[in-house]
Amino acid sequence: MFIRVVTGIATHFDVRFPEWLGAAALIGWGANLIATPDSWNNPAAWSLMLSIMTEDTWGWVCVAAGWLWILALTINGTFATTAYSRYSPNVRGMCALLSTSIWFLVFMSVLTAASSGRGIYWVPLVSSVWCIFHSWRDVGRRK
Amino acid sequence: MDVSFLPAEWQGPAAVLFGIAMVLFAAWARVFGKKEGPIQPKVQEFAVAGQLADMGPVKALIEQTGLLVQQQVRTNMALEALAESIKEHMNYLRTEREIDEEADRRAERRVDALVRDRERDHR
Repeated sequence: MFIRVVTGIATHFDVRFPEWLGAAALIGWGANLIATPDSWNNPAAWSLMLSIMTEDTWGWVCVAAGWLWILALTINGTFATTAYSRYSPNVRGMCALLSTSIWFLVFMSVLTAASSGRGIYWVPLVSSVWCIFHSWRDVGRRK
Repeated sequence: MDVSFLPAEWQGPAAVLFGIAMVLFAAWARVFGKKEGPIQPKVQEFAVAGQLADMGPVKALIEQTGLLVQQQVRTNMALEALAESIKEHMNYLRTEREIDEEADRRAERRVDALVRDRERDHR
């Protein structure tokens, strides 16, 4: 089973690389939020996100979404002939939408703050938009 | 120098508009995405290392055996039909022979009767 999973991921890795990267970015950024006591030291800039959830909760949401995305990618690629793989593009699509939403909120927050993050946070945002297109295109193809 | 580009009060409406745009984008991708063929990830068949690594020759052998058995059954059925046909013909021939023999016996009896009558008439 382990060999099958590893080989299955490797076979489809180049096609799904942006999604794997997006999931890893969510997990990494969320883990950093959890580990760092106070990352958002400009509450005014992060006011919208803080009005929805606390910083740590955002971190947990990002980590959970990232791992769900990874699970969907693993099932989609390695167990493509099983019944439950039928809905993995839908899960990938939902994770991509959630990722895009999070990165857009983050990007807006760093645009508001005097932060160097505005130079880089558009990258995961654009990557997530790419993932939306490809995952929902896969949903349409399966129908 | 404050170089913030986006006023904080714009974040809410911008997030709502962006969310709507992304949902519409996802719907568009689902409906109008490339239709020339689904991306089919290659499905590799795996076998536990060291056990039944290649079932191809076994499958071919089973297939050949099945075909041979089918051929044998067909041959047996043909032979049975042939045997039935031979039996019918044998019965027919036996009947014909019996008829011929009976006809010969009757003819012989008739001839004998005619000879006896002639001999009686000549005395």
